[in-house]
Amino acid sequence: MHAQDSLPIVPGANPALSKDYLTDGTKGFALLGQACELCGKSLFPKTGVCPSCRSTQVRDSLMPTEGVLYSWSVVHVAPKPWVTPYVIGYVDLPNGVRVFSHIGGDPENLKVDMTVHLESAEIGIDPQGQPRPFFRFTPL
Amino acid sequence: MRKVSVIGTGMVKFGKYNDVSLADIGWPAVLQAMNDAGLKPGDINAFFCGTGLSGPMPGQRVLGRLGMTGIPIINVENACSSGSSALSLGCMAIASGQHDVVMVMGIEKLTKFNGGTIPLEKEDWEVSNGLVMPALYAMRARRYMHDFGLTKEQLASVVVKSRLHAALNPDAQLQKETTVEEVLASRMIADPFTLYQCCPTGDGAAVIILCAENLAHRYTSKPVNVVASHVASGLFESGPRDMTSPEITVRCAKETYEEAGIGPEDIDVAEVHDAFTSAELMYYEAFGFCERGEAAHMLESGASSLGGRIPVNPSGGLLSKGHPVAVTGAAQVVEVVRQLQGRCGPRQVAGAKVGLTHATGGGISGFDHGVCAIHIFST
Repeated sequence: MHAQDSLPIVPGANPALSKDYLTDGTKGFALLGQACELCGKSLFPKTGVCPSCRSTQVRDSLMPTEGVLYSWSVVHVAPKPWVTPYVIGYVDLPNGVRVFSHIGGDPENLKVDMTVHLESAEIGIDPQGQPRPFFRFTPL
Repeated sequence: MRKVSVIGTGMVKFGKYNDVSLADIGWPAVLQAMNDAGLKPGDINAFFCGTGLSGPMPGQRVLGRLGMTGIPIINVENACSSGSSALSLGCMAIASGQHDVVMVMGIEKLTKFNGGTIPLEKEDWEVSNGLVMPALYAMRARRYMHDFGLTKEQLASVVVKSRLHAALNPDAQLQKETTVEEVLASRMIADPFTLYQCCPTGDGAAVIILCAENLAHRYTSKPVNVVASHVASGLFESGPRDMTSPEITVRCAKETYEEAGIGPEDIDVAEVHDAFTSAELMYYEAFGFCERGEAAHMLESGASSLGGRIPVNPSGGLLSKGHPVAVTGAAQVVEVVRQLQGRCGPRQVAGAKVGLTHATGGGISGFDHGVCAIHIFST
């Protein structure tokens, strides 16, 4: 009998509740995702398991800070506590990850496939009702 | 596996019923369907009830009003495909021989949320960071407009056609005809979608009674046969994917056509998931009713209007009939079955013999949609 069979499974923290998807380390402000050591698949945000090959051998991986704007929308109706209008979109990063992000700059100037870069920004509010330090992508 | 037929249908007019409880929204549709099939309560062997957002045990609450509980009741949640997933389970229960006569329902009371966008799961990464369903579809629309030259006037034209059909459907929530200008002038929800380009929220219920095909003649002279019943779940993709082609519908449609042994050219009438204007257009392409990039031309040619080559959403679709989430899949079946039975009056598709229904939904990060359910019927 394997020793592992007698150990209970204790689920890991939900990534949406985790705080560590931003980092301000030696390489500057960046998004912290994961990369699978077995198959190489990158993912943001982290889940602790690889959706491609199901390996749990995933390591922290900094996401590229520049990408391409796939599409966006200016949201005018949203539930509390969101204050409208705000702009959300999908950014495709060169490591094969698509990021859902708020988009900065004037929405009138946005263009499909334009280059956008990561910056820190206050997006939404935290459980205490304070502005939440977060990120967005913005055209240069 | 036995073949399955539809022997009865029932439907509540979609609308806002703030002061009516879920149970009371549902039971009138049950009685209509039972009368349609000439059934007594004891004839029904099981009940599959789909609801997306309306809380626990909808099936028991509805049938409790009619004193019809005691039989197996399975409540089904599968977002916008809850009603059609319930149908899929009902079909399998008969096909497998487990039951002979089964009732299926889709029911929803969205007015309990007091307006605004449909509440989504807050644990979801994108939802917790500001995604709302109209914005998800809006991003697809914007990309499609860029890739294929679709204009906002063409998007608005989808609503114009939808209202024309709905004006002929007493069960539709929005029946007033409209114009491209009026559609574009309505309030902006998520650019480029204005209010009229989004399906309205509301309440409703739709019921389908199924029977083994070889027993259907006991109950009706106009049984409609279920030719294919297919449910698929979306594929999680963390990287780039083409949002102008709905992968789950394309895949589920291919599998359903294969199961039925037919192709798009064999479909006489279709009810597809037009939650937003761009969706209807992309589904013309996903089902092979036209080539990729050609959907707006197909709409403008009249091919998808009543009287055209392949009328799509003769009921008015989600945009005008309404979209009480779980009900939609079941209500589409009620429409197609009644079309094949020749009961649709001014909105009847002449000579319709083969019909298709399609409900898809479930906004989850990294998915096209969570679920898609497609059924094909014939007489």
